[in-house]
Amino acid sequence: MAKVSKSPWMLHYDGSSCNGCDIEVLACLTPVYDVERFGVLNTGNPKHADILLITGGINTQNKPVVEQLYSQMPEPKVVCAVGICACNGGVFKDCYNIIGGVDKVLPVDVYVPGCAARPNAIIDGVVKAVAVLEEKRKKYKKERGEKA
Amino acid sequence: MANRTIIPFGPQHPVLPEPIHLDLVLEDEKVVDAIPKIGYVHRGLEQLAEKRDFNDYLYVIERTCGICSFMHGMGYVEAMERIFDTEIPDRAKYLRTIWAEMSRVHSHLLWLGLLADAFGFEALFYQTWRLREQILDMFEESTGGRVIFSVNKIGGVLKDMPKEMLQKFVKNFDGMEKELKKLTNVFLNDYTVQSRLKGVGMLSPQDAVYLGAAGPMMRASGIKIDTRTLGYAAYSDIDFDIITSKECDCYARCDVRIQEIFQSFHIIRQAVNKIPDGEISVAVKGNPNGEAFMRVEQPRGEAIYYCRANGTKFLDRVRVRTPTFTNLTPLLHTLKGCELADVPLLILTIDPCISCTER
Amino acid sequence: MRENYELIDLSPDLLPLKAVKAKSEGARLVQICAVNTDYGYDLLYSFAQMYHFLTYKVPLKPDEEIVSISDIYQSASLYENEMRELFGVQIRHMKLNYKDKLYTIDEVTPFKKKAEEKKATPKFTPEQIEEMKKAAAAKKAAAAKAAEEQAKEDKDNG
Repeated sequence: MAKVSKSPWMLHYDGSSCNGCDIEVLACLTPVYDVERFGVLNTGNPKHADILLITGGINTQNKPVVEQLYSQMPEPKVVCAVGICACNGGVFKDCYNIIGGVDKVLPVDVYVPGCAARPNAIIDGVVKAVAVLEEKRKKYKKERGEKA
Repeated sequence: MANRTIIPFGPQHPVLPEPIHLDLVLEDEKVVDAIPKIGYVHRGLEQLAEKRDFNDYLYVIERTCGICSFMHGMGYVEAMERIFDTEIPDRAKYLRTIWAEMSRVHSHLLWLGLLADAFGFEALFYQTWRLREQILDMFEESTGGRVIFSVNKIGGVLKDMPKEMLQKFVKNFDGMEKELKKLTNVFLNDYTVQSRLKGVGMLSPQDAVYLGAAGPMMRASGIKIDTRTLGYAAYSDIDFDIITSKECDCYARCDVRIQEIFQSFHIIRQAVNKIPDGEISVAVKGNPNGEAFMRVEQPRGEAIYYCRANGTKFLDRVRVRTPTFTNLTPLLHTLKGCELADVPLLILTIDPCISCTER
Repeated sequence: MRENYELIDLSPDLLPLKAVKAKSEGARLVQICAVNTDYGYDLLYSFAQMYHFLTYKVPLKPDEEIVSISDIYQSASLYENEMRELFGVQIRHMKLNYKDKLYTIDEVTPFKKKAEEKKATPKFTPEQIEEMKKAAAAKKAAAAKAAEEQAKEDKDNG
């Protein structure tokens, strides 16, 4: 991530996680870890967001919610799965109500494993997501015939 | 009669880190009814007891909730210890007490931060969470994990804390207490904060009992119940009062939780002074057979664990009744008649933990 | 020191009476849960009056119905909806009925289904057991014969 042309905004959604990763995502935003120094800002509105951070696996009821959130985000967008549950289901893989990781319903760009994922790992994932976003933006502009 | 509108609240909402959905029936700006819809975080981990043996299941039940994961583990192992009828070493009991109280400090500080965020005081949110990081560092030093520790086992604990570490922690707590006093001064005495909290979300003592409130929610309504006085872990040797408030509103709940943080520091200091030397675990052999209940006071209130074993490695049933599940009914009661703008605040004052509720 | 709790067996039709009694004594409803058993379910209703913890164990057959206590304790309705959805316990007169949509899961009564599967797998019919016994006996006889022949051979050789 050499240079970011725009400050990417982040939307956090709790799939079916145990809260462990959620509070670590929030801890990333607060003084000690502070992702805002990379220009990343947390937002509550999917229409403002560039990066979708999902913690926890997908179950029957949150599947449409996750799909809707993703569809409301403007192009280009990046999905980041935080925690082992979001990657493939984790300890809850065998539960009757877990479909699996986030990649069962959305195209995931960055995986951050860990139970719970540590803030350092989450920040690393977010920074990688910013790089992916930059690439996607270039590609998106090229497709539309705009100057990169 | 004014026109009625239904406003959907959640599951994705800026104030709530976790998904819960409420259908709010409004008359103008007043909420007249609220219908909850849960299940966004439902995984069905109680049923996993049939697939994992009773030792492995401990790691599943710790992941019921990432905020009070130590308490969930402790409740489960204490229930299993009742089935096995084993007595754990005294040092393990004290270690469990210390970690449990540290969890309470961590959870209440987290809640205070989220509350500040809910009424739009972002600087206060950041300050509280900065203070909370000190507790997480201590957890990392003593257990190796920041939010999920896995230090319990059936028959004791897995890790010991040396004397120097305990002394260091007590010293850290002295520093934290000083900083916390400054912060809580804002929560309790600031005019703007008071205007958001006072007189909002009244829950009378009668309602608190009949609707089944638990923990700080109940104590803020003046009911003197704290499961810690039953004396699990090492609480029977420790001297503490039950903190209650008579005001019954959001401010009272905030006040009770803040005082509980200071009380937790007090309990940890006592425990560090009294902790005996010796073993930290005993071996437990064989398969469990029988059933047991266990009650544990979590940061959010009383949690009930029920285990039934059948003589094999796999348990018949594990039941966790978490405090937020029982606090939902009082929440719906307090929502009736409040302003729409107060809804996020009211939901926060029960200290909701949705992943606990839905399991 | 360990605190005690009481566990009392109760027949299903006495439950509302006991709930009314508990409420009049100022007890709070702590939890309700269901457990699978060989004969159906055990429903556990726990009440607590300050620290005194009392649980009624109500045995119930799968086709039996139980009367809801949500009229007496409002907080019971969430527990009852949970039992109905996860275990398939039939409950009458529920005040707030989510109609199996509290958690909205794909599987129907996941806890109950698993219990039936468990019961079905290890069982054999009596004929099969008889056959297995015969086969085992034949195998034993063959082994004995072989050992005998072996011993005879050994004798012949040396």
